[in-house]
Amino acid sequence: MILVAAIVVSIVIGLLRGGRFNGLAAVPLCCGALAVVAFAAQALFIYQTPSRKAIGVWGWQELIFVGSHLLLLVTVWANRHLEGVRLIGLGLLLNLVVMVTNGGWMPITPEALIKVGHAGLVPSLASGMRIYSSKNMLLSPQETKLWLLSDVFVLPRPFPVPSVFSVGDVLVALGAFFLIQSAMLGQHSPAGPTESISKSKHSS
Amino acid sequence: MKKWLPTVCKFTSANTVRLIWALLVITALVLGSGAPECFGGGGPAGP
Repeated sequence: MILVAAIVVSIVIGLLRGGRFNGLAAVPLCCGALAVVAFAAQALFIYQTPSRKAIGVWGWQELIFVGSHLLLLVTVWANRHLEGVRLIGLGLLLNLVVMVTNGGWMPITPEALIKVGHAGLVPSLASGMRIYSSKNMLLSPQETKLWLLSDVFVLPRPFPVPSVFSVGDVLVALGAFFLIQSAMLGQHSPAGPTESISKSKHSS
Repeated sequence: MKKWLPTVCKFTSANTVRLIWALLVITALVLGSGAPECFGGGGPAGP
């Protein structure tokens, strides 16, 4: 949700700076379908009930979940020439590294859950248990490998969307901001789809 | 996308389709890459 807010804020700032909303249509994105498929897979898996297993043991859910991030890395690589995409890629890599080293999900501490007002959730979760409908699993800082890269930043209430996020999330949000700004301020030229449409019209 | 885009564009503006597609891809890329915990929903899972 906080990343959706980052996208919306980026668009609003782009408009305030005199950018055009339609400028987004001209972004020459490659392999976009891979990103959509990867996100759809993630959305599917975070709503799956996790099976009981020891901390760090990988199941098919974790394998496919991490695999979806590899699809995103391919998308990032294919679009690395666009402004902000490398920053998104760096954030993605940092998140991926910490998830892979901690059993496939993003660690979050009980303290962070309490700070954002979900103290009631902590007693119902054992260490290493995934939090339903998120990419997170509960782990203490002592149990977390690369703790600094996990979800350590807390935005508590009265922020409208209390959140816990990582260094990688900050980089992803910044990358999205730069990508959207450059698109809306007209730093991309129309390509690809326009050509294919005009070609099809000429051929018919 | 290039295959089905001309067909879709018969029914709607090509620019609108490109805009929706770009927003969809950027959103998928950003949400797929990030891993924040946001509240408003969520809860315990598993046995």
